[in-house]
Amino acid sequence: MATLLKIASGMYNNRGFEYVYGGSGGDKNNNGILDIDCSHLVYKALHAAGYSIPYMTTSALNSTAAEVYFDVIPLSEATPKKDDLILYEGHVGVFKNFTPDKKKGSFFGSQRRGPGVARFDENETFGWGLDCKILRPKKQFKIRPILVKGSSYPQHARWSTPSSRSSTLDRWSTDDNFDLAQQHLRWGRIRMIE
Amino acid sequence: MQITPRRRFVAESNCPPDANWRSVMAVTFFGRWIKWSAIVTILTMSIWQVASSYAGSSYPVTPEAVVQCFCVADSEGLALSAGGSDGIYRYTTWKDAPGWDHATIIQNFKIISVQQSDISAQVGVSYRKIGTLESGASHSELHLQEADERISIRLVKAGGQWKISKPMLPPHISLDSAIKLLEAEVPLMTSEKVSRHQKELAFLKSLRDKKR
Repeated sequence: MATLLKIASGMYNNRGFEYVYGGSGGDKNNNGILDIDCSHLVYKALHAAGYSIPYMTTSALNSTAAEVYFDVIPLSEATPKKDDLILYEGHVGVFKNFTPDKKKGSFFGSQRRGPGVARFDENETFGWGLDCKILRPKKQFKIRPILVKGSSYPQHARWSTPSSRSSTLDRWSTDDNFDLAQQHLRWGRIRMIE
Repeated sequence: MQITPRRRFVAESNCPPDANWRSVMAVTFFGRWIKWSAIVTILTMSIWQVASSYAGSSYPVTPEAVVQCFCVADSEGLALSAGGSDGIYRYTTWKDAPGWDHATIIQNFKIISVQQSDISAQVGVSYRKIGTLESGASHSELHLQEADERISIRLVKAGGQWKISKPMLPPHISLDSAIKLLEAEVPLMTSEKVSRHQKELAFLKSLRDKKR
């Protein structure tokens, strides 16, 4: 079963996006590249993964309001299998891995160079250290299945990609990424399956 | 008597023919060498000038100047998009940074202290904060909260240049930058949200005008 990490990296790790403040998947600055910021990336990925959790900024995720939707767990227990998020002061991403012996790990998020994998370690070599929070989305908020290619999802459900650049748009076909798929379709990055 | 061209040449130059030929060759070769050296030198110098204008020569020398340049670039909102971020992160040791979803709006900033050793430095910066901007689900939300913020910025010497190593601050943008951001969002908003947005914009503009 696809994890949040696979869904997020599938949706955004395709060089079709860049970071712009407030970017939520559209082309906010009209330069022909779709925009996404860290909290919108996480929100969209959660939504695509079947969670019904409202959009929250990093500061909202850092507040007690987030505890309604997430459990806070120690970094040593974090795993991508449980769709964990990693939260810093001002940044959020989808947890990928952590090696306690080496005190380093990585996450997927929207950084200034665009969506991708970022690393963290105790020396903050790459900008992020171990001073983070791990948020695990509560199971009761996963109300929809992950919709995959070939499912009976109506009308705009099925997409396929001619190249590997946006290879995952064919797999997730929720309402949420419909706009995104439409844009990719317009640019010829994907085609619709009859 | 008929003089061959070669002999005429010899007669005119008063030199033995072979020596003269060699000297002509030498002069020609030397001339070419001079010409090509000059071209190469001019090209090298112009490339160096172009390169230095982009990088090295314009980089600030002191920790205080680095922080000053960083704060100015930050206040212009360069950290809020991938396109402008090279202009700000050239002053830092970190190569990547968060895709920020919020920014602090400041009225001004001031460098208040500098401590420096050979390899590291601490520069104190005081910000006059007005509030924060957060990227909401569809548009930015303004939270007004005036306060003074003091931050100690740590710098290290890397490759002969002072670079900011800590902390990785969220963007501290000027009133002008905040107004531009909010104005850009107006066309994307529904009519009922526009009126509230316009009030916030008017408030920020009045603050900016007061400052002027």
